[in-house]
Amino acid sequence: MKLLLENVSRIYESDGNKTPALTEISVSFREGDQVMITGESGAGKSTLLNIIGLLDRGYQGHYFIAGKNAREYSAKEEALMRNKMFSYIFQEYALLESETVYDNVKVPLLYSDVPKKKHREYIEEALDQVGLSGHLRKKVKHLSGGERQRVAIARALVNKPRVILADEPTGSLDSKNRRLVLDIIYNYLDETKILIFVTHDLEKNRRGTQRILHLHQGRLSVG
Amino acid sequence: MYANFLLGLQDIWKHKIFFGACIAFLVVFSTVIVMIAVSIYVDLQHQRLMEAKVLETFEPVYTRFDLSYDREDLEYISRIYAKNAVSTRESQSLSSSYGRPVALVFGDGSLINPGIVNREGITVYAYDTCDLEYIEILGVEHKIKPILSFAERFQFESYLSFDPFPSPESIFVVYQGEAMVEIIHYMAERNPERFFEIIGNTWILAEDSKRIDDFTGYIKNHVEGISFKDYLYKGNYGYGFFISSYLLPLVAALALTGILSFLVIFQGMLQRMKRDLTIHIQSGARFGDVLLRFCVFFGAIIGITLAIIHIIGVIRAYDYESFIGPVTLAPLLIIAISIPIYIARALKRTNLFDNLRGDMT
Repeated sequence: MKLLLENVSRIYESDGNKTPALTEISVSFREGDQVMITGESGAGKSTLLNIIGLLDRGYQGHYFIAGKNAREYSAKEEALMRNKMFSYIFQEYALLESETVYDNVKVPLLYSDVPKKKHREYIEEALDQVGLSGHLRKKVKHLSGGERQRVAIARALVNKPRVILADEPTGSLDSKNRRLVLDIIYNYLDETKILIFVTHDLEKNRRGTQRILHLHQGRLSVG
Repeated sequence: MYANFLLGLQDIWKHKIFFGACIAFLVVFSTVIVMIAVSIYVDLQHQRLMEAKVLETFEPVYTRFDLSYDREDLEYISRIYAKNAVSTRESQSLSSSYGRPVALVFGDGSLINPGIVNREGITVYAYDTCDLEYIEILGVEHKIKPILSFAERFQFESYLSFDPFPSPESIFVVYQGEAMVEIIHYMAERNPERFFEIIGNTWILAEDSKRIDDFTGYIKNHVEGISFKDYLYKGNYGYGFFISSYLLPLVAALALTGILSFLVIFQGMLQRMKRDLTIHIQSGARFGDVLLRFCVFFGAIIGITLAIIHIIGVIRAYDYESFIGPVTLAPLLIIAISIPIYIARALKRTNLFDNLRGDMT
C-alpha cells in the first residue's frame, strides 16, 4: 500500500483572511516507512497529518491511497479507513475523560466488524501491549499522564491499523514514560506498517534510520 | 446501530442536567402554547357569536359600593330569563365535588344547547358522554337527563350553541321560575357579588328587543347599585383586533423565542460534545452514527415530554377540541425535525479536528 500526496496545499480562511498552512506538498509513504516530520509550531505538521488521516478534505491537489484518489472514496469508505487503516496518537491523549479505560479503548471497535463478543479479548490484548492490563475499569481521569498516553496508544492499536499518525505523542511525558511509549510504538511496527511521526524533538524520538521530512512555513524539505 | 443507540442512552446520563432542563422547558413551553391556543379559540368563538348579533350581552357596572335588591327584583329577572334569555355561573363547590365543570344555568338553557328543554324548577342535563346518573345539590339528589352528544352539539345553529363550559363531562343544572329565584337568593345572600356576576353573564336573544329593553331598564331603574354602560357589546367586541394585533404575534414571538433559546442551550451542549464526537469520528464513526446518537437523545426528550404532558393532563384537559393535539405536537415536531438538520449542518460546517486542537501541538 502506498500513500501519495501530489501538490497538496491547504489554505485556511477566517474572516476573509487566507492563511496558507501547506503549500504544494508532494510526498509518498510506503509500507514499512517510518517518517519523522519536524518543523516549528504553525509549520503545518498537524494539517498534513489531518489530510493523510482523512480528517481534512479542504485541501487542493491530489492525495492517492493505494492508487485511488482520496476524493473518490465515499463517506462510508473514508470512515472505514479511519477505523481500520489509520490511527492517531496525540500529545494530549484525546481520551474520553469521564469514561473507563475499557470504554476508551473500545471506541474503534464500535465501528469495526469485530464481533461484540470479541471486544473484550481485543481490548485486553491492546492493554497488555501497553502494560495496562490491570487498569480495565479505571476512569481515565484518575490515571497519570504516561498511563493516559498508553491508553491512547492501546486505542490506536486495538484495530491493528496499518498507518500510525503520531502527533507529538511524547511531548507531555517525562523521559521514563517517553521511552515506554516509544517502545510500544516502535515494537508495533513491521514491514507492513507506516509510521508518520510529528515531533519537535527529533533526537529524543528517533530510533534507527527513519526518513526525516522538515516542514517550514508549509513547505516540505527532506532532512 | 445498537452501539449508537447505547451511546445515545449514555449521552442522556452524561448530560442529565441538560436533558432534564430540556424536558422542563418543553413541558412549560407546550403548556403555554396550548393555553394560548385555547384562549384564542375561545375568543374567536365569542367573536363569532358577537358578530352574528344573535345574542346580546351586557356589561354591568357598580354605581355604588354595595348593591341591593329584593325578592321582587329576582322574580322579575326570573320572568326575563324564562325565555330567550339565560345566565350562567360555574358552581365551584359542585365542580370540585364531582371533578368536572358543573354549570348553573338560569333561564332558557336551549340557548346553550338545543337539547335543554325549558322546564319549571330544577332540571339537570349532561352530554351523553357523561358517566354520572345522579347529582346531589343542596342535599337533594337529581337525576341527570341526557342532551345532545358532545360531538354533535355544534351541528345545531352553532351561533346559538354558546357553550361556556365546553367539556364532554360538563353538567348543566338548569333553574327556572321559583327555583331560580330561590337559588339566586341563596347564593347572593352569602355573597352579593354573585348577583352582579349573574347579571353580567346574561345573554338575551337579540331579536327579542323588548326583553333586552325590559332587562336593562329594570336593572337600571330598580336594582340599586348596578347600571349598564351606555353601549351594548353587540358586534363591538374588538376581539379580532386584539387577537390579530397582540395575541397571535405574542404566540409567534413566544414560539420563536422558545425555539431559539432551545437551540442556544443545545449549541452549548453540542460544543461540549464536539470533542467526544471528534474522537468517535476519528475512530471510524460516520456522521450518520453521530446523528443516530442525537436522535436517541432528543427522541427521548420529546417522548418523555409528551408522556409528562399526557400525565399532567395538558392535552386531556382540552382534548374535546381536535386542534389541541396538533397544536401541542407541532412545536415538538418542529424541534424533532430541526435538530438533526441543525446538527448535520453544524458538524458539516465545523472543522471537527479543531475540537482536539487543545490536545495538539
